[in-house]
Amino acid sequence: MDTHEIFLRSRDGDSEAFRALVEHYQGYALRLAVRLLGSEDDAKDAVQDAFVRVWRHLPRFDPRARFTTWLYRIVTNLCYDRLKADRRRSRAVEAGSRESDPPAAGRAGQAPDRGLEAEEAAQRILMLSEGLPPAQRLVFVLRDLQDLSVKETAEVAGITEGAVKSNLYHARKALRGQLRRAGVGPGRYRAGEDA
Amino acid sequence: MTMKCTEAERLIHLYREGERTPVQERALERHLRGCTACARLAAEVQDDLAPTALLRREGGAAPPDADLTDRVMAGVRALEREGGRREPGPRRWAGWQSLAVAAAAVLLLFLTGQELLTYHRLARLEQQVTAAGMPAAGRGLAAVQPFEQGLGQLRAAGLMPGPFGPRGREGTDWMVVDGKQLARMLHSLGAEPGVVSIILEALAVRDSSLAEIDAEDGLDTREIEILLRHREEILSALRAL
Repeated sequence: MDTHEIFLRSRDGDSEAFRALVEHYQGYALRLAVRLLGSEDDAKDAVQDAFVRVWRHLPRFDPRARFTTWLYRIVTNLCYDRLKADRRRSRAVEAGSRESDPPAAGRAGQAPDRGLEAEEAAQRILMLSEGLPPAQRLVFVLRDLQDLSVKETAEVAGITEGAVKSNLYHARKALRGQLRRAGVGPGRYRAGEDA
Repeated sequence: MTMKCTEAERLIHLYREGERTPVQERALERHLRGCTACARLAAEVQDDLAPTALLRREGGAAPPDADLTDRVMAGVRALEREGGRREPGPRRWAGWQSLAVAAAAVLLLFLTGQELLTYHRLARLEQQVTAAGMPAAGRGLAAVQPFEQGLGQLRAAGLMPGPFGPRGREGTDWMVVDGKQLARMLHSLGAEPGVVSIILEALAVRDSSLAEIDAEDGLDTREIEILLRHREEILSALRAL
């Protein structure tokens, strides 16, 4: 059974075909959710919820559209709602402890990570991206980590390409600033590729 | 025209393929040839962020997880046990309904205080509208909270394009919808004339806050103009419902 047939049979209510659909696409959805939420448990909850919604709304999905874009959009929306809720909670906590608990990146007197390897730097970027505002984080994950094009990112996030670029600019600038404050400077690593 | 360093700095951060137009590319190149500071920044930005390429190489998919598949299928069975019905297949919304949802969602996103448009900023808009002599409606902004649920449903169904605000597909004139249709859609989602009035007045003032919204929220000048074109019709129809 190819993916198109799986899709059509799922749309008609065949639960075994839908299981195959879930097996086929869950990896993409889970990777995206983990990167957006930073927690595998939360990501699995979001992906589970997303696929149940897919099952519910699949009959109305236009097969001419790209299924992965639709799936990404549902996962993204669910994750974005969680991010917003988490951020509201963390703001409340921060308000109570701002003076005694400065941000981890950029603490005064912190020794720079001079020997940071590219892999470590990548993990550092991943960690720092969790501190970005939800909109910037979403765009950064879709574009720079999931490697969607600007157009695809705009479609999944539901924004204009101009807004993608605007958020991307702010996200990269913020991440770079935090890397620098953490002592990660230029020329310490060479990851190559499209930079 | 010579590019300023602030614009160059923005473009320097948009360094991956497809992020700069050819015109921007050429203008930036010219700027970098004559500006040592920006040329250094360009090299540093790409160097600093180069490790993200490693994360991209990890691939777009996580390894298969049988437990997750079982959880999804259990969720589907639970949905069916609880009588959760699947959406009917053949039914499609009429064009105007889809357009009206998109248009309504533009307004609702203003109202619901998304991350990019906080209640604080909405309150500031309200003050500015009042200061500008516009008849600001006195509804508290908390009145818009119930819209969250309706919005969530639209998003979950994939009917509303995304978390920031709807956008029509390229080349689709999704705002070709009359004010009465838009008002009916707003009404069905629980919008109150007073709150909608604040937003439309704020749009009419076109202050700096709106420029900010414009840049970040994807509500472009054309969309604002179309909303304003239907302003009176929307409000009068909404009040009549």
